[in-house]
Amino acid sequence: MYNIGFQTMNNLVLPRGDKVQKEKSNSLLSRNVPQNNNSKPKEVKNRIASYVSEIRKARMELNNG
Amino acid sequence: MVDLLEPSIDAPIAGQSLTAELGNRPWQQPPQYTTVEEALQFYIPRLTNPELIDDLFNVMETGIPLTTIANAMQSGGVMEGKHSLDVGILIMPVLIETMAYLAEESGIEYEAGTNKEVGSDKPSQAAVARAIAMVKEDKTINKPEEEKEEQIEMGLEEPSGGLMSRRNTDVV
Repeated sequence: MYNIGFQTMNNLVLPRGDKVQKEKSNSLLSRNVPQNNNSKPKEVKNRIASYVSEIRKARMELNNG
Repeated sequence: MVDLLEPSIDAPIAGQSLTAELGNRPWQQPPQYTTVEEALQFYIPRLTNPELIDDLFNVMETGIPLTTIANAMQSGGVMEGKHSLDVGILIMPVLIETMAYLAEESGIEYEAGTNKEVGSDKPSQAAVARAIAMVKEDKTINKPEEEKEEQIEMGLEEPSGGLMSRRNTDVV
């Protein structure tokens, strides 16, 4: 039987752990001026994935004590 | 028109969709919650409502998968005109995960419905149907040797090798 809930959960791509980024200088002569990605609004699927990831993390913490 | 072998009892009656004025049904109106966040703000307090959570746990303990429960919830929301079907499908993973969290917090055993059965002794229905089809096909093409010998003993005719005869795959 075609289970839509199973499909939605299996197709969900959970975000990976936060990467530790090296701090780059923001000076005018620096190689690349880093862009602030946080201001960019996330897509819906990414927002859903982040919500699921947060709840799952809390659930795992609940299991691990 | 395709003739169905069996009548579909669950199908709507012909013209049923015309029994109400177009736009009178809740799902034909613009949805109440248009974004995922708004829809979640509608569902999450209901999931965590102490008056309703016992019923939810009872349903979980009967072995109904969380995916099925979440699907029923969002289908109900669409039917009531709370949100669109797209939003309903989008929020399903959050609903499933929230229900799993609540169940584990209360020590309720539940069936998530998100895992494929791996290593179970019982083969899937699709695998059984495929195997039966293969066996049937094999029987029609390659008749067993014993059956052929019986036919020869009974004096049945050997299949002719003429151009218009039925193709015999056993002939090399």
